[in-house]
Amino acid sequence: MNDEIILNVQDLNLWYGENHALHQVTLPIKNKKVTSLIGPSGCGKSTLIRCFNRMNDLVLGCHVSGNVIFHGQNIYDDGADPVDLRKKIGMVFQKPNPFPKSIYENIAYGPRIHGMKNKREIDETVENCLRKAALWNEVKDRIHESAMGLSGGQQQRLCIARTLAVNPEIILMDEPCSALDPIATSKIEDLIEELKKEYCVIIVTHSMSQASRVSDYTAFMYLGDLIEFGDTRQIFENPHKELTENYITGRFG
Amino acid sequence: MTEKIRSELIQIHEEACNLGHFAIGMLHDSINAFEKGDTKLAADVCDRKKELKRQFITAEESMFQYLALYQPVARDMREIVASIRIIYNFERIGRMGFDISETIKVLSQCCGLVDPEKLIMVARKVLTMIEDSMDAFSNREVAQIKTMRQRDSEIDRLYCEVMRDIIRRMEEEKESVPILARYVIINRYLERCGDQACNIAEMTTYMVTGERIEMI
Repeated sequence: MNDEIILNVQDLNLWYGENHALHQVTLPIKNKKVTSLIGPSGCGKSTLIRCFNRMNDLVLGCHVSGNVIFHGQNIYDDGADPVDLRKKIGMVFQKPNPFPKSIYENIAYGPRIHGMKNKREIDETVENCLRKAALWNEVKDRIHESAMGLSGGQQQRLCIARTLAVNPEIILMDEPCSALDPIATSKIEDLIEELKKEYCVIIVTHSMSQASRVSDYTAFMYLGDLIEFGDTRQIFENPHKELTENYITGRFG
Repeated sequence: MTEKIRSELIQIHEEACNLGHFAIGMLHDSINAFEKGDTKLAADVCDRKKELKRQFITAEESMFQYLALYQPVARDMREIVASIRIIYNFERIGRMGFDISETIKVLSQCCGLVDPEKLIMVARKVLTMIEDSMDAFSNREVAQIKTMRQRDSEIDRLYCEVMRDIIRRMEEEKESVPILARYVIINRYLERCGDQACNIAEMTTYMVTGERIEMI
């Protein structure tokens, strides 16, 4: 079911202390689709994406109300396990952040701490994830060398491969290409297109053209409000809200 | 930078409007030349063909460059896409003015006059339709083009009526056939001009509202 809603955000509010950063956000995220979150700096898009795997739990004074329903359960319920959640909903950050270990160890780390012990099984997982991240052919002869020797674009694809190693269902990407050149960006975008065959991808981006290229759905946020959410083609051809139109056409920012 | 991009879009709109006014001027003068049998004016319209092409290519190049350089979205994208199609319609209208004028030059060599009153009436109606579409595009305002489909239906009806008249007169006045044959051509050009007015109205509506409508 491609149209299945995998993550249902309902009336989500978030406060950093006194600062009300997200206001009543309601957003259905569909499985095996790419959803882009766009908006000017400080609009709450990174805050929102970080809510989806409870990364904001680590922020002092952060308080959340509302629901983020994943497999029928609110991820903010008392019984929900954030560690298990982050296995199912992985994240890739703006700046590539490989562990200062070998390429192999970067991928093997996650499966190992989740209990995978068999070396052959780990080897297969490493190769499989590197292939899925379109990195295998570039690194297969040096997977035991340091990941820090890879280029920025390769490091970012390694981070995506690392996320895949623990069998996630959703991949969150917070400006994954902002530190990359156009060629590396293009590779990541091609990879996103491949990944959505198996995973749900949610991406925060400052690039309007990237949002229009890679995503099926786009959400526009402004000052903590979700202003408009819809089919990417509709948003970029004929947005319903004037605020959305003014932002994507560069009339304010 | 955004201001630069915005001012380029305004300039492109002006180029398109200038082309529109120029093309409509050609059609307008060709109709006047037809009405008055003014071959000098018809020749003058024919001389404007090169300038029409120049303005069309200039406007088209500006639009393609804007697309390539700025990848516009939303209303900016709609404006460029609609304008690219509308300038094509303008160019066609100018060409119809040229074609009518060419026909007038041939008509002047035929002896005797055949009353073209009804054809002139159709021409005036078509011209008003085109001017209304032009105004709508120029002012980005769709109110005055909402009835364009009905107006075009009337032109289609008149086209058939005029055609029947011409055929009847061909049967009755054999000596006028060379002239009446040209009227058939002009009648067809005018009917096509009505369609161009509708195309402009359709694309202007898309440009302003994002809504795709069919008027033909």
